[in-house]
Amino acid sequence: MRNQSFLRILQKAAFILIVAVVCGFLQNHEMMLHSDRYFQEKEAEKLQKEDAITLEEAKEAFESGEYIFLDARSEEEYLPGHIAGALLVPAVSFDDYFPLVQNRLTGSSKIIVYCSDIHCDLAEKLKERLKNHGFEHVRLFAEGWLEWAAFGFPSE
Amino acid sequence: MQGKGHIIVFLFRVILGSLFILASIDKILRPDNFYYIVKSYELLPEPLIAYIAGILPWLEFLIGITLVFGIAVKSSALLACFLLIFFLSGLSINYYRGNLINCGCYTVLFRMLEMEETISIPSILRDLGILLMGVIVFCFDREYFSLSSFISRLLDRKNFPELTTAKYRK
Repeated sequence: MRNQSFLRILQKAAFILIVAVVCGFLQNHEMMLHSDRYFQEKEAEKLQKEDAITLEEAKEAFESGEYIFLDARSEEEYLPGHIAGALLVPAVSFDDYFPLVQNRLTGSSKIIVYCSDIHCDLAEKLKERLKNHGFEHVRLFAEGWLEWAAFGFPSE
Repeated sequence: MQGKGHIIVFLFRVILGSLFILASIDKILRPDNFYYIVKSYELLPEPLIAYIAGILPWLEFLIGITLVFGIAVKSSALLACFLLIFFLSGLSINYYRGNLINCGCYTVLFRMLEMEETISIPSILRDLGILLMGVIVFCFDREYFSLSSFISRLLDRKNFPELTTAKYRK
């Protein structure tokens, strides 16, 4: 073993750290320097997706009774509170839960999927799985359960 | 540490490095997602979160690469230990608070399995085990089968052929 002084070890560690800072900055400088604007734009992008609906549209769809709401969160998150009448189909255990609700859905069913909030991607995953199963009318309620509950809309 | 000890430390070094690379991939590919995970830990001031989310995955990746290939092993192991202490603090504080959020650990694996790992005692114990591995690598690594020792041997042979011949004859 070459006798390395602790100072030499620290110097090399500092070099690795500097390289990491440079790589991180090159890749993510926009996120790092303007995080507020960066994430606002990302959220706006998510809300503007073709099949995404806003909170107001979700409320209207709920009142129309034409849509079936599917909750993509886990059972532990679903049980304490969810949109009234929403069925549980966790995106992470789709194959276990989907057969339980399959008889209530047809290819022409109008479906709205949601998860906890705009940052979670479970609803997006569930939407993809449903589309793969032939469901064409699937909309994404990106703001999700937290926003719905915050406005005191019908829940159970 | 002699004989088999070298091999064990070498294995620990490669395993530790591989774990760091594995942990970094998803964070590098999806920095936005990692930002929200760091935010959900509720430990860092808001302006710092974006910097941590942008830099930390690259630090993990570089630590992983240098450990696997055996470059500046002690420095990388030292950084790995500091990072693991940082992660362990985050996990333990949130476990103590009862804030059982998505751990954000090895997300590339959990995404493949379509699972999400929440903070739990096993995740804290796992990180403690990895920290122990890091400490062992830092204390006992002798650059066995490493790129840096290979390069320095090459340089030794080139610059001091008579010395290295004597050294390797021993």
